[in-house]
Amino acid sequence: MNLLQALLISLLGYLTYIHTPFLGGGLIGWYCIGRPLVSAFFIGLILNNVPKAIELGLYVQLIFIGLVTPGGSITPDMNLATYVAIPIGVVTNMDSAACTTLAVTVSSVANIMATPCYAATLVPVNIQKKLVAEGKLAEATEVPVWGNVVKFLFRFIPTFVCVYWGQSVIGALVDKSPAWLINIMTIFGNPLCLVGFAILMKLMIKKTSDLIYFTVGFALCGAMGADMVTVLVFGMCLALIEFKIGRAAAGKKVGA
Amino acid sequence: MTEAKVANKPEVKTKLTKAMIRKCYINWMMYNLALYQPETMQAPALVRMFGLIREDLYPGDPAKQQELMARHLPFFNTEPFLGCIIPGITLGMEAQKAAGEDVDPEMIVAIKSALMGPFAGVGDALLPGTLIPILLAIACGLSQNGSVAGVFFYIIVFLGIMIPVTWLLFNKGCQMGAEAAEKLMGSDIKDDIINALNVVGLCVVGCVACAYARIQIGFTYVKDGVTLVDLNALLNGVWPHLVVYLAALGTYFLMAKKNWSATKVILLYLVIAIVGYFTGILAA
Repeated sequence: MNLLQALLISLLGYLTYIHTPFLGGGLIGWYCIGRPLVSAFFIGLILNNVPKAIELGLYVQLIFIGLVTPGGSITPDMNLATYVAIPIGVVTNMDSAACTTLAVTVSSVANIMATPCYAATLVPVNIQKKLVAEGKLAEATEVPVWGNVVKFLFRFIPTFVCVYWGQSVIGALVDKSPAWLINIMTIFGNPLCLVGFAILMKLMIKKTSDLIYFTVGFALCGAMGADMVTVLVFGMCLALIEFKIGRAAAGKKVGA
Repeated sequence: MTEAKVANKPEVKTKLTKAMIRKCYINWMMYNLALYQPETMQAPALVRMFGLIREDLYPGDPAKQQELMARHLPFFNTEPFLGCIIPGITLGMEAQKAAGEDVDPEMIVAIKSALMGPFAGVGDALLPGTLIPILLAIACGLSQNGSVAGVFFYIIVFLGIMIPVTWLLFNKGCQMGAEAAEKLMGSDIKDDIINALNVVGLCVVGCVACAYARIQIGFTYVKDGVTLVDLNALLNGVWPHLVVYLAALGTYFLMAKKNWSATKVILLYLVIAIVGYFTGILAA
């Protein structure tokens, strides 16, 4: 990947970060373009290899499918993982398991940036407080706009360094790895998306018997070879029944 | 019914205009996390929102404008998108106060603080916890083999749902004030909707887990060049992808019941991969 491609990828990485306002805010940036699957499409456009990027993006997406970022807690850095693992995976022609392993590694290591970034953000926040106290209200209003430069520095620079200089390092590493290491990486990477699913199941399962719905989806796909849309139709059918039962129970309570 | 309600209510004075609502909505949606940090969290974005309309609320009165912005400097945090109803409510109350209605500024802060917790919980559970994973799971199904179909599906459906919903919530907040939040949080229909959505979500996650997670058992017993036992084929003969299913349940059990962190589970996976490879139980 050349310098321009690395710059564009790092810029897109910053623009789709959770705290960046300039792509229309979190709904369009973080929650839409910033999802690994969607980002992969744009990374693929930049690197001129959309199918490969989407193939890898899909697996990176699956690990982070249950990612919820509650206020104040430090969560895996999906943004950096996406914008490092997918581009490097495309240019070094990784398989999905290796790319998943790289994404997971980046997302955990990158957490060390979270606290310094928060600390640095306090600088513009305190400037805003001071400006309000001094009555400089127009200036205070504009602080969130320029203050976001802190987030820019903590996104653009690490992404660029990893992508631009990391590609040759990772490429050499992948080329020189012995067969046993690659095999272990494959065994490790292939089921890793189950961790993402477990996070999601933890959120969605209210009582243990709800596991039956997971099993239904699993069986439809595994035993009957159903595609996603078919499973969705079955799921909606079950959901409607569940909803009606819930309403009926609520209605009884009101009546009694 | 709405007409009767309006007729019963004395006319409430407000300085709110459509243009102001639009400006505040756009700026809240963009800047809610721009200066996010653990101390005041999303408060800097509220300060900006009111800073932008300070002249509309208190024309030529810098002291009142300063008071307005200072009031929103302290801590604020919620799920910013479904929770955008709270900045909406706050805006509605500030606009009434600016028009001379008797609105206690402490009340504005109190309502804001009372609502942010519940909306953070429900918002996180509904948006990144339910809607987004369901749509993404479908998108992943559509994008198999590197197709762009899933990508466009996700962009169009997600924004097609969320932009109107957030705009509606923000507007309802402005017009109905705290009453809107009460209606939303108080009705039990939202629990039934969340339950139903979770059923769809679980089915979809089950399908995706089966389609994408791969575990290959390597153990075979070969005698005189004839494979007598191929454990992988045997287990898949019992139920297709049985090992993946058990691994999914095991991972869920460790994380949900034993409260293991994702990192701990990932390290366990690594250990199992290394041991599994060298003992020949697992194959690439």
